[in-house]
Amino acid sequence: MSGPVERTTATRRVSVDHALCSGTGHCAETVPAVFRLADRRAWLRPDADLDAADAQALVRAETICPWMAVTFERQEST
Amino acid sequence: MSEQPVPAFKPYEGKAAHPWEQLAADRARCPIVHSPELDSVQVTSYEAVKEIGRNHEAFSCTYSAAWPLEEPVPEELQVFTLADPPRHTRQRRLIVRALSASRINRMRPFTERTVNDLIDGLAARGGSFDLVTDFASPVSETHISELLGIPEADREYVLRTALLPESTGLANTEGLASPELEAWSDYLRETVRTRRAAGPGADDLTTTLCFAEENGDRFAEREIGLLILGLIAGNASTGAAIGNLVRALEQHPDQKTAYLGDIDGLTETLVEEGLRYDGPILGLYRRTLKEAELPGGHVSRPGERIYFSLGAANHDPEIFDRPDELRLDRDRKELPASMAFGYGVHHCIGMNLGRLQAEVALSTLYRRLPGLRLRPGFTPEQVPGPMFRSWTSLEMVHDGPVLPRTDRA
Repeated sequence: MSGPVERTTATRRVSVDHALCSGTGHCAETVPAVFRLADRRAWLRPDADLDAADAQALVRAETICPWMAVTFERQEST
Repeated sequence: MSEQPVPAFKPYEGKAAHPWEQLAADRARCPIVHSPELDSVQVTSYEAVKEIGRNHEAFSCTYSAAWPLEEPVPEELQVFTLADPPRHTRQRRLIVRALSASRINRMRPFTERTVNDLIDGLAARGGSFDLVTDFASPVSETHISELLGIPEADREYVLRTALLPESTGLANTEGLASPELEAWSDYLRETVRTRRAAGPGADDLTTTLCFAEENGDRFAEREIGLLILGLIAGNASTGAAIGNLVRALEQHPDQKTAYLGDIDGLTETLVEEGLRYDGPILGLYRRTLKEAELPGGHVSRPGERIYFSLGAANHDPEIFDRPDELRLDRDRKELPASMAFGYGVHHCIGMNLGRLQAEVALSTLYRRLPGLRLRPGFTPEQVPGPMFRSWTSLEMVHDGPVLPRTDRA
């Protein structure tokens, strides 16, 4: 294992689906503070501060992933 | 008004075997410039090529990425490489799982057996062969036939017809029909109906596409036919890639020596660096739909036709030091990805399939035929045109031992 592939905080969830991920690196290049590339797959940085990460960049990472492996969800605080 | 520079790159007037000097001259002097020969704006810098891939809202595929059309193809033909989001997003969502890295890696035993069988055949016929027709093309054709589950008896017909220029999607538009294309259309439709009637049990990609479903959404019959066509055409570039990789290695004797000394450790590197150095797609087209600025300052206006060269981007010295050399010692962790598979939502859907074939083909070939080399005095030729990098023929010789198969303990 080269790190986690899913993280949830009180307001956000980010994941990389390794059944789809083919390691193109689009996510790591778009949000380097959250994603990294190792062994031809994307992983979440264990030390990533998800709540502080740029939400628009996370949306872009989800949208541009050619293998549709990245998910970014925002939970509405009720 | 300053005079427009005329680009040096001339892909139709006898394309050079080694176009990198022409493309380097254009990149240095006029990285974004109108090319009279291409009747398009020619883009050769890495950053601008990447931006065209990233900004799919401005740069449309619907006028064809392969031929410069005057009108978008009809909506019912906007499938995959001919589609923009959101239509493309929906189609891609239905297919990514079937071609992902983890799924394609399950084909590895088939790949190893196929490649070893072909090398047994080469060894049996003596000390020379044509790498393109006797090895690279059969590798890619066997793979796409297996993956799609094309019946043995139909393979020759399907592979030949799918690669006719008239079949490549856009020429399927009304008015260009021929009896042969009618028959081909009928064949594809019948294939889809038969697989759907047989149920979802089979493991082949055609069946997978017939039953792929996301939130109740499925492919239409015509979409599956066009996808099969696109996959066969795309996969043909893997045959070209294997030829390009062999030629690149043979052109760099010191790198070949390094590779032969550590085939296990260097195959992945050889394929990635080889595809950067000479990938099978030289360039593609887009049509600008919305005004957009490209790195370097060019503002592209709606209606502009763009030719962007993936090959030129991969030889950009701003990104790759000594770009016109194949070097297995590049620190790939520190380098951005090459543009060999494109960039953005249209990133090559066959990447994992292509990599698997290329890695097994190269490593097994050089492991089993350590005396392999280009026939001395042979000068290979490139296919013409701005889209492909592909050697028409590579005459090889080998002496010394033929080593045992690599797929059996």
